Amino acid sequence: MTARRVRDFAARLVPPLCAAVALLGMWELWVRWTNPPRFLLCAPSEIVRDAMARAGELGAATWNTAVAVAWGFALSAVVGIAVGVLLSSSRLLERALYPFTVILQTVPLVAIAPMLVIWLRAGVQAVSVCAFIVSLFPVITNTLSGVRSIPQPQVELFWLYGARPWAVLTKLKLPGAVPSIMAGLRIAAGLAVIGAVVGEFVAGELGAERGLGIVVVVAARQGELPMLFAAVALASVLGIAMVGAVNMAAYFLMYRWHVSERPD
Amino acid sequence: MIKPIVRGTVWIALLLSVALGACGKGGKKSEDSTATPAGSAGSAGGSRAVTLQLNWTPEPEFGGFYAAAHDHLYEREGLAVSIKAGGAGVQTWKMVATGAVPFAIAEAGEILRARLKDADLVALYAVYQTSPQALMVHKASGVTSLGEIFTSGKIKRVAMESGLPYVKFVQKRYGFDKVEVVQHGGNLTLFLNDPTMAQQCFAFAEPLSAKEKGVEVSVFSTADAGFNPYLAVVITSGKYLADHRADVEAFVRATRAGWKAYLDDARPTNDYLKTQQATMTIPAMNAAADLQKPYVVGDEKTRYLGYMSEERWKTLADQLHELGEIDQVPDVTKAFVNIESK
Repeated sequence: MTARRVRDFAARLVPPLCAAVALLGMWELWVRWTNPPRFLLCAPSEIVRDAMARAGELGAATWNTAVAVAWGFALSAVVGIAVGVLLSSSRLLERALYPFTVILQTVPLVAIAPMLVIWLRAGVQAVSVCAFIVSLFPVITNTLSGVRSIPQPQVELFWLYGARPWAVLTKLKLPGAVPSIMAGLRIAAGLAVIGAVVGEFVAGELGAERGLGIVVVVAARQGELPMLFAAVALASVLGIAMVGAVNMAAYFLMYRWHVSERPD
Repeated sequence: MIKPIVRGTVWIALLLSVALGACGKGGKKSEDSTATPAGSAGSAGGSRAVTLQLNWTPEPEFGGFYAAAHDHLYEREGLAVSIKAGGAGVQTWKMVATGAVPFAIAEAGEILRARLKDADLVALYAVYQTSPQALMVHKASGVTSLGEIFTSGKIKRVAMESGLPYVKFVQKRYGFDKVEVVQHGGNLTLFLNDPTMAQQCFAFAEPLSAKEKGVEVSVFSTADAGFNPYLAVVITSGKYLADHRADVEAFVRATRAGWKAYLDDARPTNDYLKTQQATMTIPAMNAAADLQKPYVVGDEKTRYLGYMSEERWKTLADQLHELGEIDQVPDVTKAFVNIESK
């Protein structure tokens, strides 16, 4: 069984790895062949070299961004699920409040971030809120949709056995909505990273709490392409790690009973 | 024109940039408003059409260029100049290096750094002989020097634009241990409401806007502290200079004449600047134009308007190297060309 799982894992891992190596190889060859101006394009090997040389700076920036992402995501998970459940409890409440949650998705973050710096401390605090704002909406909508999708006969069965509303929610609706909630959290995990990095462009701190967003801004301004690519790659790794963590949580929550997490 | 191979690289870089997401900062976005007076846009009357890309929004910092456009001085030199406004994060030097525009305003440090990355840029005209880069604080804060901003504990928060060389300079000299250093977003809201805050400014621009809004400020120059680069210079590419030497000389001549006119009487140009989406009020621009005169005119070492000395460029290169902003000291003589006043 274990050997089969390793084989499955390898079968899933090898194709994207091969594609990545091929793309990076072509990129490296293109740069070596054409020798473009260094302010326009750099080779992957230069990115690795510069990233190694400034590993401490990049590591600290990645950590600061990761902390903001973790706070923002955790907040959006808790608030998003709570609001989703609340809105699902009454059609009137949903009609009254749901449009306001849409505003969260439509207001540009760069317009909100300067206000956050007025109200909060710049750096991790303000940036966490940026990550929270950007990642909240999919959690609310998916939770709402998941809870609303529980078949009515199942709810009526609970009522028939005299279940109280709290029991209906915790024993039926929330467990039944887990697949949908996890789908929302998967989207939110990636968005939290985007929200944090973009938030840092405006609400970031330049000193000890500087994150990847500030590294990107400085590198872009100074034409330091290898650092720019390295920071973006690390932000991407952060996003992948976040989505991976949610996937793992989804697996442990659902592998026993939901078709989406069963082995092929 | 850039070579086909470079063009291919530009495409690849663009595609990769799309994948990487937008790297531009928030704040004011680049505007396409042109400052060419009505009837002179394009190549009317046989004039050669050229573009000057600014690195900020229209304000007295660019007064001489707008004066040259408004007074038809560029036209008299056979040029139809279109002035494009910029904003925070607009990398004008890249636009010149890729051939997107022939002329732009950039900062001397950017030019030295870009030249080390294969960008063939040449500085032509320094607007300011003394850098007006400064930090301002509320007068009520009691701060009396640049160093006190960072070390006295009277200031809790400093807004500066990340990536500018002077930020590294003050960080190395004073440290950021006692202050929270935040991104400078280009507006005064945060500063006006927080008496324990310091903000990046031009010595004669933002302090006037703060005063108009009822906040008395103290201003501390980074030039006085020993960091005095040519902060606003006209740049072109080495290729454009070689291929269009006559146009470049004509542009610099008209620009110098524009600055002379602006120094003599800034008011007509400031009225015109207001029509070009300048954010400062006309009285503030008139006051700023007066205050910036000594920065533009310079001292006895300044041979003529726009003059640049090798000594100043060398000092800057050494300072940037010492700050770790550049990894080697370049040959500064290739970074600038003085087009002498006749």
